[in-house]
Amino acid sequence: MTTTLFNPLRHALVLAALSLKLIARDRRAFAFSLAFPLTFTFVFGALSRSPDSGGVTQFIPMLVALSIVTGSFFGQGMSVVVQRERGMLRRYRLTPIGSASLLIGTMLSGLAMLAITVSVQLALLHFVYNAPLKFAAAPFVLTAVVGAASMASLGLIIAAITSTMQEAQITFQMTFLASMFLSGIVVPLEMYGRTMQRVAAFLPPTHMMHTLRDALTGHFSVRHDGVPLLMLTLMAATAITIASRLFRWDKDDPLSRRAKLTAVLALIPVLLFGLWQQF
Amino acid sequence: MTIPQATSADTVAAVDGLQKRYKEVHAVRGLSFDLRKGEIFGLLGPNGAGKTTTVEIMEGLRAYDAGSVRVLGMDPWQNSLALKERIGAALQDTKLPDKIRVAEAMRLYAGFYRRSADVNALLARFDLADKRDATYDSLSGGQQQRLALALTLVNDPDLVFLDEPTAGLDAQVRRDLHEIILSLRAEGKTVLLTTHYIEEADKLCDRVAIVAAGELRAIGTPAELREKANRHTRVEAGFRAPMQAAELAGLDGTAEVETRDGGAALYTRAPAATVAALVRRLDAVGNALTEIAIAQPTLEDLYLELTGSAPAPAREDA
Repeated sequence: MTTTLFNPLRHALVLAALSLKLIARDRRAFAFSLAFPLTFTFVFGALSRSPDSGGVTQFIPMLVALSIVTGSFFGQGMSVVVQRERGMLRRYRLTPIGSASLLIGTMLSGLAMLAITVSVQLALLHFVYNAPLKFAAAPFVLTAVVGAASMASLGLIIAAITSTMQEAQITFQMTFLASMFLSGIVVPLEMYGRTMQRVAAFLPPTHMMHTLRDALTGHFSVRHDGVPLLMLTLMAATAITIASRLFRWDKDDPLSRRAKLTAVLALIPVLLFGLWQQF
Repeated sequence: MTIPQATSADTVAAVDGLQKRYKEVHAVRGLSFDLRKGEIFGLLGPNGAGKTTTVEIMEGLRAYDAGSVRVLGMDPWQNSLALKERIGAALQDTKLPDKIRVAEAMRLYAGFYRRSADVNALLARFDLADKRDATYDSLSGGQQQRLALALTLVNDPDLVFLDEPTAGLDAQVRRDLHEIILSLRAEGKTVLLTTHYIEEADKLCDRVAIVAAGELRAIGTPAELREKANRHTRVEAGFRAPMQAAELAGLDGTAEVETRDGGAALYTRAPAATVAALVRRLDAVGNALTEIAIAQPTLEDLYLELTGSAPAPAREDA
């Protein structure tokens, strides 16, 4: 028998494995989860054939970042909203598994799906579009994992503060677009003014994109990427804390004042670190 | 009202003066009752009576505002995870992932507990053995509900909460589930059942609490509750020649007389004496009985009296 200490992790692993099995069993869900990133891979691959494009290599960080944001932020957040809306979380709630197991399980299954997606993308880029894959593996994996954790947690926060599917979808779309345009994933940050760049420094995808770009183009260095990676890690830890505090099994559960206060307090280190970094 | 308090060593759960509010709605108002080991206890009441809120508080899913709740010796809100190890619970409407398989769901949920029952035996008991590889979305409503009940037993619980377990199911499935619920008692498990079907409470429960508007209106065995009904036994009589109400007045034990279609309905607390007096009265006027029927007060009468609402009809045709 596994000891109590490890039960939450064991439950999380069991839930993650189940989630992957269910996705694999549901062909439509599986195809849908791969359709979006693969479409982008083909689009960017085709664009890279233009003589002025600068080659496919420069699109790789953007593609990976897009996959992380869509899969982790949008995908996992909406998955929790759907499960809550359908009443599946209420059934889990009757068992001794805690919210931490459920959240970790959700994030682990998301990470596994992300690994599959990004591997397929990189393979396609390499074999179909001749993209050279000379990236720094360890920093790339670390950034992808921490970035995915932060984005998934942000998605889970939105899942917690919205009550209906419709409300969640609108909030996800707005936040998704904002994080795409403000973080340098779609539009390079250098094109923005100083104020917008300062705002961008408080967004996890900004630091994720910065580090991913360097890791995937062979320019990663601790001196240049250490602080963004640290900031991303701090943001991920903060987002996980807030997501776990605000988590709701049932949309009728109120957000307690204590949970809200914890969420606000958890933001303080990120804000202080961000301010220190800029001034 | 005098409320039986939890004093026995066999008390499995005790609720005392429970209060719960949702903003403007006072869902539970001072509810008190206890559950005794090995009994099926029914919470009977109309929709919005506070049954589900009470059960969810006892399961540790909701905090309460005032009063005290002890379930298996624990405060459900403070000891939520420890309590969940020892209880089984079925929601009004259990939902599982569409593509999860029956046996897979059983193993998954069994894996959440320190103590688990034999999954294969449970599948056989709930007549789901041949559906073990079927996905949840391919099961009928009755099979899904049987699976929901089977899941409540995967940890071999001491106390089982069943929240409206047969709502919306057809008559045959309800009868099957009734047998399963009765078998839980035979195993020595304590069951708290919420329902708005009176005949279900009457058939299954050892004791019933009738609740309405968050308040306890009556508690006792179904027989005790029937006795509490402030109704008279109704004696329906048909006569060879029509009788007027005035001709039947003053019969022994009779509180009220209604005449219709040449016959009469006599409301009495002493049916035997009333029938004897009626026969004598008819002899005296040269009349005679052509038919007679006696209707005892029912649990439904008490329910109507206490809740002011009609009970849900049993769905025999669904």
